[in-house]
Amino acid sequence: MFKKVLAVYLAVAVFFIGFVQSAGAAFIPSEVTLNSKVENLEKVQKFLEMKIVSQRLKDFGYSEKEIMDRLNNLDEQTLHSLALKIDELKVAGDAGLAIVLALVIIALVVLIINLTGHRVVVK
Amino acid sequence: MILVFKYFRFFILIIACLSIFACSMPKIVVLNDPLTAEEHLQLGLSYERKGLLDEAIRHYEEASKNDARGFLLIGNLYLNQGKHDQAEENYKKAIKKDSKLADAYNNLAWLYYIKGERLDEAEDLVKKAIELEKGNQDKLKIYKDTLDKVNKLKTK
Repeated sequence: MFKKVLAVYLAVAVFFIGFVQSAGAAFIPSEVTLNSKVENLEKVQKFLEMKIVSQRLKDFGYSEKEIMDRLNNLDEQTLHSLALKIDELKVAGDAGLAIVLALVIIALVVLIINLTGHRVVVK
Repeated sequence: MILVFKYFRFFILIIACLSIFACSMPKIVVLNDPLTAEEHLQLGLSYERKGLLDEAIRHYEEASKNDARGFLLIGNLYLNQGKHDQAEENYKKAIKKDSKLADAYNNLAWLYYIKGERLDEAEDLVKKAIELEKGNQDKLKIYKDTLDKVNKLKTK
């Protein structure tokens, strides 16, 4: 009885193992396309997130020293969260006629800058 | 002297107004893309493997502006989720953007094989991939596997 159960189990296992291998064999996964190693993804992610945050701080006028100070104080999780949300950060301007006028001018400048292929936010 | 004093006061008033105005003026910040297309793809892949699919797609899309592999990786992501229509759409975009992207031909052929439809087209696609990667033995092995499977399904 045990032998029969074992034989059936092995037959089913071999069938499914063979099926899974053949199902995945002809598809080129993204890692292969990019020549990436899964074990390096974590390091690459941290490096690139630092690059994103660093560039954004630079865009907002921080000096190299200030950027390094801030980045050195960030733990991995905070860096990750910041990198995900950094493009959503905006600081509102004051109201008033002068501001409305200024915004019209800024809108025109933004339009021109956008046409040159850059992205612009108002803080 | 009175005239100078009058203008001096006017000058100070203008400076004060400008200072106040400058404080409340919105600042224009030009955001430069900190990453290259390749880096967007790598970061997107890292996010995808962590299950952050929206973020992964955002980076793939950013990469796809300059690199057809962005569309290919979006296609792969959707294929892994079983969203065949979106996968097909993105594989086609990848091929349209870069007609030499062999992996996109193969994966689109593979998608048709999975769906069991448009098998003649799948055969043509994978043959194109084989033609494009003649010198890459590792990839050729996989492409030929796709071709075998498509042909077997056609003869059934």
